[in-house]
Parts: sequence; C-alpha cells; structure tokens
Amino acid sequence: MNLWLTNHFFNPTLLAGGAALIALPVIIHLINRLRYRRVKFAAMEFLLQSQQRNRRRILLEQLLLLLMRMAIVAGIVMLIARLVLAPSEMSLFRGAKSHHVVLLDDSGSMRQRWGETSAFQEALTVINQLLSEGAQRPNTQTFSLLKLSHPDQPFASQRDIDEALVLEMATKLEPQVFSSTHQQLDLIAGLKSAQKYLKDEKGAVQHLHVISDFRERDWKDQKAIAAILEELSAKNVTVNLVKTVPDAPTNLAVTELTAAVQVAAAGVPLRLKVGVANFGVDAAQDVRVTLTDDGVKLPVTVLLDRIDPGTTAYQDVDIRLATPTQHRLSAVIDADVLPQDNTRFLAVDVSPTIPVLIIEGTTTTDASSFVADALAADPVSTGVAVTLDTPDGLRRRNLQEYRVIYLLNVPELPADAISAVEDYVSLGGGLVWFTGDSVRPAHYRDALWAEGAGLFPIPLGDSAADLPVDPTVVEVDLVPSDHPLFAIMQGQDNPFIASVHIQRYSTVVDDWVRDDQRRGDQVRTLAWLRNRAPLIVERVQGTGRIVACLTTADPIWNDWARNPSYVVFQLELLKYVARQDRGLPLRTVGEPMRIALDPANYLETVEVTSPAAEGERTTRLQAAPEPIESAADETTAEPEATPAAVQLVAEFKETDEPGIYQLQLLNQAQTAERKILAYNVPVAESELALATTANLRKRIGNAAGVQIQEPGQFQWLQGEEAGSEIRQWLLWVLLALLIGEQLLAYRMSYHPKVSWAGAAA
Amino acid sequence: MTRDSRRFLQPETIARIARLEVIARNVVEGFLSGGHRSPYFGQSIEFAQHREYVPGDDIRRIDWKVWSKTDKFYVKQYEEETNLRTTLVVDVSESMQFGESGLTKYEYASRIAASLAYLLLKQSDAVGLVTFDSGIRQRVQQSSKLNHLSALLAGLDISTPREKTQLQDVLFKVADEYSRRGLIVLVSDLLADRAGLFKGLKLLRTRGHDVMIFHVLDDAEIDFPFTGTTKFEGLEDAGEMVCDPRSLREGYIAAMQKYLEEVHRFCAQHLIDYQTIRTSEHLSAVLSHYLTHRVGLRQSRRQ
Repeated sequence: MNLWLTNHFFNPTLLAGGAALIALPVIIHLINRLRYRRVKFAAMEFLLQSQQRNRRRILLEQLLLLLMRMAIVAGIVMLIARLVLAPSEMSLFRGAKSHHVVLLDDSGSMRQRWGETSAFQEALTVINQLLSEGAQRPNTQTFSLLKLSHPDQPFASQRDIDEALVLEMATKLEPQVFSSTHQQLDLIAGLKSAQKYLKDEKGAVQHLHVISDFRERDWKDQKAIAAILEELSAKNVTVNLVKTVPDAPTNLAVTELTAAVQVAAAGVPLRLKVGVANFGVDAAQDVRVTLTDDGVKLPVTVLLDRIDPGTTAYQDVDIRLATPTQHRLSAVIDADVLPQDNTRFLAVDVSPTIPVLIIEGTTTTDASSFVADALAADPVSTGVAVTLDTPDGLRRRNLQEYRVIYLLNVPELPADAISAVEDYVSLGGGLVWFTGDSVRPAHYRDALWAEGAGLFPIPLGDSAADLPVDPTVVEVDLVPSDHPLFAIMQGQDNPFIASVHIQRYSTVVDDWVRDDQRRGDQVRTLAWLRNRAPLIVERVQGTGRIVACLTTADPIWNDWARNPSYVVFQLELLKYVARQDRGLPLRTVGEPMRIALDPANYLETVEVTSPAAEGERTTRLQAAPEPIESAADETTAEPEATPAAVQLVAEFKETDEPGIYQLQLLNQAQTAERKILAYNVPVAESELALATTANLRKRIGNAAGVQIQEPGQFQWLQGEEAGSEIRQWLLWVLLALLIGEQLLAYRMSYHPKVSWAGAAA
Repeated sequence: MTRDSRRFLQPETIARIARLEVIARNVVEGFLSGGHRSPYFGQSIEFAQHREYVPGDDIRRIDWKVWSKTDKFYVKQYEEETNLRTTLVVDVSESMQFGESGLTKYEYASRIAASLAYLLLKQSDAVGLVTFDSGIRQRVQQSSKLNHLSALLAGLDISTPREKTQLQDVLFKVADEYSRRGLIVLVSDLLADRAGLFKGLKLLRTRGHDVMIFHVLDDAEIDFPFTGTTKFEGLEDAGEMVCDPRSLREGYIAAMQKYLEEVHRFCAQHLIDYQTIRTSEHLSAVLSHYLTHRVGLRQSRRQ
C-alpha cells in the first residue's frame, strides 16, 4: 500500500490528512442535520405533500451534491499530493499515440569531439534517452528516425517504443556502426522531408525532435527554416530543437592542398599550395603542416607563423616526386576538436614527362626552337618532352598523347588535321596558337574560326598591322588582364613584362566586338596591346582550352622571346592549357563517383577501393550501358573514351570517407588501369560557430510550438514524464466539479425575488 | 362563562380589547373620512311596486287611491327592512396562532373582525360573532347597539386554542343557528378538511346567506422563505418533520397555490366572496374589499 502511494503521489504523506478531509462534507452535513431550527408551522399539509412528491429527487440531488463536494475535496487533495499515474493508466487519458520523429543531423560538423564524447555521440544519447523514457509507457508512443543525410529514407519508421526497440536501437546506434557522415548536409531539405513524412500520418500527437549541433552557418537561411517550423507548429507538431554541442572551440582546418598536377612530372618540382583556415576566435600561432606522400612523410614542412581568426593562411611549397606513378599526397595538421578537417588529400598522377607537340608552319623561321627552349631548355627541371613537327604531323600522330599542341605560324591546316585537332581539344586537349607572316587570314576566318565554332578563337583581319614605336609614350606594349596566367608577373617586383615590345601583330576583323562582356561569347581576352587591340585570346571548348597569341613566338614581330618573362609565360601557359584530366579533380565527400566507359575499350567490371580507417575496402561494380548524353559528364574518368552511341556507366555512391579512392578499370586486353581520386571534407563543415539560443529564437520567429533544448540537459525528456502527473487534467476536472456544485447548489436553494408585491393574489 | 367573564375582566384582556377597539376605530373612521360615503346612511322602508290583489292578501295593504282611480284592487308592496344581519365567524384554532412576522394570524383575524364589527355597528347593522376551533368556542348574539362592540371584542379573546379546525360542524351549526338570511363573514386560514369546508359553505349558500371569506395567511405560509435545516412542528397535531426547506419550497408553493386556486374556484362557483389576506397587508385593504363587495351586493340584488 505504501509502495502504491509512493508510486502514485509525490507527497504521499499529505494524502493521509487529505483522505480525512474527504469526510468533511459528510460531517458538515451531519452537523447540519443535528443543528436545526424549530418552527411551528400551520400549513404542514402542503409541506408533507411536497416532501412526498420530491423525496426521491431531493435525495438524489442531495447525494449528488454531497458526492461532488467530496470529489472536490479529493481533487484538491490529489493536486496537493501530486498524483502521478502509471503510464499504462495514462493511456486512458491520452487518446492518440504520440509519434516522436527524430531528425538527426549527421553532417560532418557533428563529429566535433570534446572530452570523451562527440556531438554525434551526444545526439545518440538523446535518442536513447528518448527511447528509454518512452519505453516506460509501452504502447503509447511511436518512434521514427530520419537521418539528415538520407531524410527520405527513414532509418526507423513508426516503430512502437518498447523495451525491444530500446535494445534494438542500442545495438543499431552503436557509435562504431552508426556514425556521422563527413558531408555538408542541407538542413532545409531535411526539415522539408520530415514535414512531408509527418504530413502523411494522421491522428497522432506528433513531435519532431531536431537533434543537431546548430551551427551558425546552417541557420543563416532563416526565412525558409522559420517558414517550415511555422507550418509545422500550425499543424500542431511540437518541434524540439535539441542542441548537442555546448560550445565551439577554436578549430583549424586544412582547406587547401592544390598543385598544378596536370603538369606534374617525375623528378620535376611540383608546387603545392597549402591553406589552413582558422575558424576560431583566437589567432593560431606556429601551425605546422606535415606533408605526406603515400603515407611517408615528405622532408618539407610548412610552418604558418600566425593565422588570424576567420582567415586562411596560404603557403606554397615545392616538392619533388621522383617516381612517375600515382602519388597520394596529404597535408596534415595536429588533431583538434574536429579531426576530419585536419587532413586534406590530393591525388597526383605523376607522368615521366609532359609531352608537348610543337608544329611549325614554315621552315624559314625557328619559332619552335624558341618555344621548345622556353619549355624544356633543361628537361629535368621542367619535365617537358618536346616533339617538333610540321602540320602534316597532325594527321600522322596520335594527338591524344600530348598535353599541349603548339601551332606556330601555320599558314593553313588540311581538313583532316582540323578534325583531328578538334577531337583532341574536345576531349580536353590544350591548343596554343602563335601567328606570323605565313598565316593566311582568310583560311583562319573560314576554316578555323568557323563563326566561333572552330579552332581559332577570333576572326583574323586580312592583314597584320604594325604597332608604331612611340618613344614619348610610357605605356607598355603588352597589357595583361587580371588572369592567373599573368599572376606571377604582376606587381612592382616583376618589371620584365613591361619591357616587352610588340612591333607587329595580326589584326582582328573590324566588326569584331572587343569588349568581352558585350560580345558575350566564350572568348576571353587575356592580354591587350596598348592600342586596345587584342593580343592574347582564349576560348574554352569542351574540357579543352585554346589560347591564341596574335603575334609571333619568335622575335620577329616582337622582342618577347628575348625577354626573361617569355619563359615564365610559356611555362604558365603550359600549366594553364595542359589537359586538365591529368589533374584528377578535387571532390567533396558524398559526391557520387560517376564512371563512364567506352565499351569498345573497357569491360564493364569496375573496382573501387575506398579508404577507411580500419583498412581499404574494395567494391566491385558492374557498369550498365547508357546512351550518351550530349553534354559529356565532367566526371568522366575515361580520357580515351571516344563518342559512341552507348557508353557504360557505373556510379559509386559511398564516397563519404575522405581520402583517396582508387578506381580500377579493365580494358579489353584484361589489363588493369588504375586511377586515383581525392575526396576531401567540405570546408563549410569546419566552421564550428554555434547559433546561440537567443539567435535561434529570433530567427524562427513566432513559431509557437518550437522549443529549444540546451545541450546536456535531459529535463525536457523528463518533462514528458512529468506530463503523466495529471495536474492539468485534475485542474480541469476540479473546475468542472466546482461549477457543477455551484449550479446544483443554486438550483437546490431558495433565492427570494426582490419584490413580492401581489405575488400571492 | 364565568371563567370567560373573569378573563374578560383581566387587565391584560381589557387592554387588549381596548387596543382592538382603538385599532378598529382608527381603521374604520380613517377609512370613512377618506371620502367613501357609506351607502347605508338614510335607509328606510321604501315602496317597491303594485300588485293585483288576490284573496288572502291583507286588505290593509290595498291602495285605495289606485282603487278610486281604476276601480281595481292593487296591493302596495314595500321593500323589506334592509338592516343587515352580519355574523362574524372567526377561526381561533391553534393553526391561527402561527405568525412569523410578529403578528399572528389570530391577532390579524381579530383585528379584521373588530374593524368590521365597528364599521357595521356604526352603520347600525346587527353584528354577531362566532369563534370556533374544533367546535364553537364563543357565541355573541347579533345586536346593532353600538355598545355591543365590547361584547364582541371580549368574544374574540381566547386563552388556550384547541387543536383541530372542524369547519363543517361549525358552519352547519352556524347555519342552523342563524336561520335568518344575512351576511356570514368567515375569517380563517382555512387549514382544515377541505370537503367539510366546502360542504359547510354550500349549506350556508343554500340557506340564502351571503358568504364572505377572509382567508388569512401569513407571508411565510405563502412564500415559504425558510432556509437551513429546520424542524417543522405542525400545529393542530399535523406531525413534524426535519428537512431542508429550500429543497421542498417549490413543491410546497405549488401545493399551496393549487389549494388556493381550488378554494377560489369553489367560491367563484358558489358566489362566495373570497379574499386572500396576507397578515402583512394593511387592514384598510380588507375593509375596502368589504365595502366594494357590499355595493356590489346591493346592486346585484336590485337588478
């Protein structure tokens, strides 16, 4: 009995006294029966008549009144003693089941660690708490779990919360098997999915728990989020925003590790650009970045003296990769709260040399030698292997082998050479033109420019023009644009480009609009002459780049080749134009890997080896035939694939782990070709700044049913428990009883009217 | 009788009677001087009509002047003497001792009787008195002398009210006793056997009496304003009960109204003048009603 009392009341001691109070109305009634007034009355006849007629009604009414008064006292006693009903008893009072939908943020920033725990682990604790609280009231609640990474595929859908589910989820939600992704995820899309998921369900009390770290950047799009939350509360969905991260410490992240990997050659220095961002509020001092190649530490170290908060510090470092194989580079800083962003990966496919084909149109000049000298005066230091040839060579050679093709002072190209070069460019090859006096403008206009669709970016004018030398003018002849090609030559420290003199140049037709913006085509002017005539123009065609320089490569029309900036320019141009597919694209985790294969060359079996902390995992995929789309997918990993009616396509989606993925293709000769791809964590996830509760409140506006729970607090879960104390319900019942008692008592009592004049006439 | 006369001589009684007389005088004179002329002043024997002589008629009544003109015998007819003979029948039973507001119904009934008696005696009408409870208690013969009032007032005084009201017997006796037609004024709370009451009244009407009822009721009996647990002890052995009067009030008032309506309807059917009087009402209302009734009575009789 005592146990029952303590189970059902917070203050069981008050109950004993309270129980005695229940007898109070009876006692008052009995006392009143004893203490009566005596009246000698004449008209007893009518009184007796009335009593006889109303005896039963009066008895019932009086009994009802008495019971009501006792119930009121009992209600007050229960309120004071704080009655708590067991969950199974509670279900009597709650008609519909309540449905707890958890939207779990499993984005990269949830991996933030502190002490022994992490944001994601805290989130799992909240879910387990929610489940175990729910399991105390079996058959009253259902549970669904949506992950922000796959909000449209519920991890658990409308499961009854009971002990079995608690055990099952405890196993399924083990941090070893159930972990956060590394990706940046769209909170709005997740909320929308949850909204849709809730909309499909009818007749349940719905709760949406958004368990997240609530980073400031996620909540910037306040209007969309506020609108969804408002819609949810309008539909009577209780929204709980559960914070899991108490504070955001300083976080450093390697945000950049890039290099001109397209021109990486064995033994040739490769310039790496390393960037480390400071996402904290204090400046970081002496940040050491370790570079590794295939897990072996490289002898160079990057040391960043100071990184101011909110900024990124960059440093360039030259490394030399000796072997012409695929190299897996990584830049690592010391582990901090978010370990994933402390490493950045770069895949470099180092080739033995960089093959470049230089075609010279005439034998009278030696422009090719100037270019070849610029590129490969010492092949060891640049890694460029130059092949010199005549325009005929374009027809004979397999152009795809070359990274860049130079066409110097070529008078004209035969049609088959044009188509071969066009194929080469459309598959990502780089093409560089230099003009000269042999160039035949009409051919360039008609066959090569071809109304903007051909190999030459602009229509040439009929004749070359002189740029008159004017010693009074201080302006330089070559005016470079703000383009990365000239980045190295910009500034006060590099006066060489200013001393370049151009005497003659190929003109463009008169009606050609010189302003890139106004013209609006794909052609971009990279450098002008001082008379604003275009000198270097560029056009991107497919994945390939075409750059045309409207003067000679050798010092005939200019003196550039004798200028020190010439070599720098040519090397930069090579890096810029060289076919990009050698530089394996930088990917962000979560991006699906789409592999398109030419069935003529490859078998459909594809193996993908993914990086993982506990060891590599190889997945074998079967590519399926698919008609080729007109716009070739940029992620096409197969350079040699030629347009065909059907291509084999495989898609690998499990790219969540950051690191280097290896792709193994089998060609028709059953020999394996390997490619490597680097997947890095998104930079945005490193930004750990939290949205404060006040800010959140402000942003979600007046969505009434939204509550924000602070991290590490579980009272709101117990708050659900406290709801089983039927205080509110009791209060309403008490109110109804009081009103009923008053009405009944009023009905049963006598209320003299104000005036009785003539009433008994 | 000796006991009664002794009581009559008691100073308390004398004072009481004197007070009654004063009250009655105040009421009546105040009333008369209020501008209402009594219709009974100057009454005399008046000629009514001629009728052809039939053998057997008193030849002294033959109008010779008519015979001299028409050579036919006509008899002169006169209105009978109209001196009113009134009998006040006053209920002095135990139930009349009830009075919540200080004045008991008995005292009020006595005042009504005294005032009427004074008024009638002033008009030289003969007034008699019968008081009763279970039987006739006092009887004062009719007389029209002005000093008859004191006898009437003495007759109104009673000491120990007896229980049951037996209206049937009393009314039958009154009917027997007062064989000459007159006005019977019944002042009572009529809390008695209904059938007996109706029978008695019917008999009085059959005997040709004019009957007037002043139904005296206390306010508490009509409105039943009691609250709180109350023990009602019935007067006249009507039993007792403890109850919450508020819960019974509705039923009580309904029963009471039903009873009043029943009596009212009976009186209307038998041309009995009926008036419910609350003890809180002023006596002048009673007298005004009486006088109106009297005028009405005369008019109806002439037509």
